Amino acid sequence: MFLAPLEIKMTILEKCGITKRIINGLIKKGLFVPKKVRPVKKPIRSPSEEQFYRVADRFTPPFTKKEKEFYIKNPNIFCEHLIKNAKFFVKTGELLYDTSEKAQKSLPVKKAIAALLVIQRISHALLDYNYLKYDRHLEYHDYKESPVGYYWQKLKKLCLLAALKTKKPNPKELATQKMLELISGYGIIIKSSKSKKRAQGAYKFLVSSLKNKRLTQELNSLVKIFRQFSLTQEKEVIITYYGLAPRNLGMIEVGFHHFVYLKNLIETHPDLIRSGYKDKVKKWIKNVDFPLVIIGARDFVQVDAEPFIEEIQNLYKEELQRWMPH
Amino acid sequence: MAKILLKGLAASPGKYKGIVKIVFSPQEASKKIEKGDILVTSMTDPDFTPFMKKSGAIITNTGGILSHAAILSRELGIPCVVGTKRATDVLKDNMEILVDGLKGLIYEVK
Repeated sequence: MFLAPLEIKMTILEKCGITKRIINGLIKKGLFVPKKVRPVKKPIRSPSEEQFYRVADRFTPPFTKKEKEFYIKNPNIFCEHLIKNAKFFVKTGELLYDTSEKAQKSLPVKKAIAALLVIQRISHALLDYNYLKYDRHLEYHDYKESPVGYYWQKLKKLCLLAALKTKKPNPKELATQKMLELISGYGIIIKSSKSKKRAQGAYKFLVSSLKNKRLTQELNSLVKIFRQFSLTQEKEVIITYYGLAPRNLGMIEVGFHHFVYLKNLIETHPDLIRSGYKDKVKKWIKNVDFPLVIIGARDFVQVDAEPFIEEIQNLYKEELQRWMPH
Repeated sequence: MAKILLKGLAASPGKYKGIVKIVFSPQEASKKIEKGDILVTSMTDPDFTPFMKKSGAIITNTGGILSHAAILSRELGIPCVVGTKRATDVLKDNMEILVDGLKGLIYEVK
């Protein structure tokens, strides 16, 4: 009797080498793919948030109350977690980069589109939960419920107090100047002895104006924390822009590499888009352009595979299910 | 009194008068930025560093006190105003302006 070879049913990304073991490993390291992508109910309100499209992204999950308290109390751990997450983002991004290569090379069109849509969804989850959630707090100097804002406001008060004590004109300006000089001098990308001298000068000025041991101790600890924030920001920028050795694939490459393939497949196979979505999809593709890449791609992520034919939707759902928390 | 063209966040102290060069990428900056120009952009990344070193002042649409542009300007000791929202729309190439990095203000120069 002739026996047909046993065909093991595999999901689209399983065919590209993504086993359940790999997924579980990523989840264990902190990957969280939410069941539905919805805007957060209470996005962080900061007086200047509208200045930063990235910071004001209302889909990005904020810190919980517990996290806020913990990170304010432990700014060094906040910095540590921020860098750890930026590295995790880049490393997992490398894996998705390779998977999207395999998907577009080895899978037939419908399966490739479904696979690239899943990769898109996971990329966004990574960006939201493991990168943006932390990184955007570096911009919240005016939001005292964020670690940076909490210490920035404290430093501001202390510098203003020192400036007022000198009885010089324009104490607010003097305080701002000393604060800005104080937090420089320890750059990684640019090292400058001049800025180090300026920082030392500002520190001496503040200490001699405060003339108080307790306040000087507070100043010392604030300076230390702020230098750490500044250093963290520079490290994070280097990691996300230049990636990690040996591959050195930066954020733009790993985050949106798959989108180029997805875009080409969609444009060459418009028949795979459901009738009511054709114009919308065209518009969304156009929106995925720098500097609004994140928000533009969000349009796709939010509706999952809904704009596509049922077969693609089913393949997408089946794959995504493997990445979901149980 | 000089007209205020833009307000933003004071990111690096100092005053500087110079010519505006609006750039959106390091590639564009490599063609346009000459020593002493005022670099105006949406946001900077590490690839902008050589052109930031050549600039007399920096203005960005986005960013905060710990943004890349703010940190690097302080290290370079040049004035910087971040978070102006629309510097790349309001300012035009070759305009002469005055940047006050301490007040976070951009003035017109006639």
